[in-house]
Amino acid sequence: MSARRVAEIAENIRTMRTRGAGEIARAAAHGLIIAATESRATSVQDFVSDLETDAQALLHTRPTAVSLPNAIRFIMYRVKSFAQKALDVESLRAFTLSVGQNFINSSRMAKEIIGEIGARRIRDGDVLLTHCNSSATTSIFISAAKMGKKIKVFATETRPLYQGHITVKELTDAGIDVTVMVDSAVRHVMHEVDRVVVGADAVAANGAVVNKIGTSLIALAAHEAGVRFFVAAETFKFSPETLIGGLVEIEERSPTELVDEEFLKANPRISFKNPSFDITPPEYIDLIITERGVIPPQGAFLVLREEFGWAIGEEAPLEHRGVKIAPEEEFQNS
Amino acid sequence: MSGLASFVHQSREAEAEKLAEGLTRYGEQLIRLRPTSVLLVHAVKSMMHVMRDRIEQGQDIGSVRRAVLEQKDILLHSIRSSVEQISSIGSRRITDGESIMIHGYSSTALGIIKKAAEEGKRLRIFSTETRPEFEGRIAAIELSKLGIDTTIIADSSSRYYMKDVDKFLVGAEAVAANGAVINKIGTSLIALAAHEARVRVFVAASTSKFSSETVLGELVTIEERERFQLLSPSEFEKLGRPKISNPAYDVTSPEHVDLIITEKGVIPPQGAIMILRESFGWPISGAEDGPLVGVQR
Repeated sequence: MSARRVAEIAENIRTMRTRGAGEIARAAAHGLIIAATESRATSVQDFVSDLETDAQALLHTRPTAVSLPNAIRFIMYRVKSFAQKALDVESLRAFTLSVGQNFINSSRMAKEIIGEIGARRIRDGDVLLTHCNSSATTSIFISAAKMGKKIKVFATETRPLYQGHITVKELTDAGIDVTVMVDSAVRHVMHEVDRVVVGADAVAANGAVVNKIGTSLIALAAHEAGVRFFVAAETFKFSPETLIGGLVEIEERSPTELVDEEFLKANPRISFKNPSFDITPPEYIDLIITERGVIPPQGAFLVLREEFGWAIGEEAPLEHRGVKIAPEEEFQNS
Repeated sequence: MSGLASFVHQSREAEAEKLAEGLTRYGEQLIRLRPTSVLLVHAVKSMMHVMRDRIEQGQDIGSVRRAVLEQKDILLHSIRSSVEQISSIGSRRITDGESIMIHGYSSTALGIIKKAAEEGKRLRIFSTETRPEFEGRIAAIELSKLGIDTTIIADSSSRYYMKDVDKFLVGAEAVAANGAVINKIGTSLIALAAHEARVRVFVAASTSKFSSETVLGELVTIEERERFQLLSPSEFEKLGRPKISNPAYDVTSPEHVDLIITEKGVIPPQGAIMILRESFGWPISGAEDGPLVGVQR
């Protein structure tokens, strides 16, 4: 019974029925809660090994999802250290359930908390600039507006898939003054901007941020103009990969996002390059706003250690090396 | 320029003064539409200058008309020959096996690449698609048809591929007296990324694009283009009627430009003032030239 339901969760993650970093993380945590509830183990040791089996099964579903190993680590790290002093299976089971639920709750609240923490860093009258669509980022803008701060937002359209349009819609719905522009106009308007705020697909251990293609270019322009650059990211997006020196491989997507089929047929000799993400170096980042508080990019390592128990020199499972960052969700321009 | 010529050609005015008035108004209109184009301003001014000259000499309307049309041919010829000269001068700066990033569509910049390819140099071109009008696609089509290895990327990918590039080559809409380059929106951002990666930035620009007005500290106007290039009217409604900003050009700082390739030779951006002095004399007098300054600055 237990195995089948955990297997079901695993299958949903694997086939991308469960999508989005937060959803995947919570599904994995839920899987471990089920495993803990239904374990027939009679010793603490067997209980941990039951959990470990399911944890491995879940981990194998989507090696590319940064949040997946974090969710599992968050729980297993705490369960294993509690198991050292646990007297019986029941107290360990209760502990596991509460840790799992705690992770689910805090990740569900993360966006809202980031919104509140981030909004405190926005001043009345600030001009902000953002790229792509990040729910944590729009949460900051909307919280700031709710606090009565009058803000103005520049939103890039974000080629090739125009995710910037979603941001624009979210902000106009909230009654925020928003201006849309092409991606390449960012340096032209940077002198009017007070702060840049973007989301993240992953945060590396050295504080480098993996996000939508073009982010690093905007960070460079902000750096040149002395404009603060903020990243809004839930802690489950922090990737331990760079702890062991692994490289982030950036996925390249279809040329049909750049031109239509007709153009491809008419111009067979033209090549295309369409990377989804780029990497913004920590030197261009002023702050990372997480649900646990605000950290400088250099603090990313601490988040990994404190929250997920990653240790220096620890090997990640083989299948997690050279993490390939793939978009969780494809944007449908409906 | 052809517009001005056909205006002169089609005008039924019998009096030279009336023709001059009409042409002035038409020229001012054109400049209002494209205030950033120094080449256009120069062309209009030079055609006006020829016309006034002939009128003052008391020539009849027929010969005034002919003179203006001739001036158009002279200007067109000089533009074509300067593109050729720039191509030869520029291609000498391109080495076999290089990767070059381009942005927008500049016949002068493409001229350099084509010339270098003709000389047998194997090149790899990264052409940004260049939103909102996708001129980069047109550039890519032209180059790929000549058998040049061409790759289209989104404008946002320019920093990502900068490490694979040897040069960033663009044209110019105008060059200011301090060597700042006014060109297609995004140029200054890519030039910044090139500067960060220590990739050379080359600007191909005929001296007729050097702007004398900036000597006096006036800013070059950056035109805002039609908003609906960014969003269709229905998208605009769907997205809750956001503001739209669509600047056509931006200004690349001279510190981010390595060389400007002109038909007179290669200059560093600091040499722009020399070009202006040669073209307009010293003190530089272009700005006080005539009535064609009814342009919003």
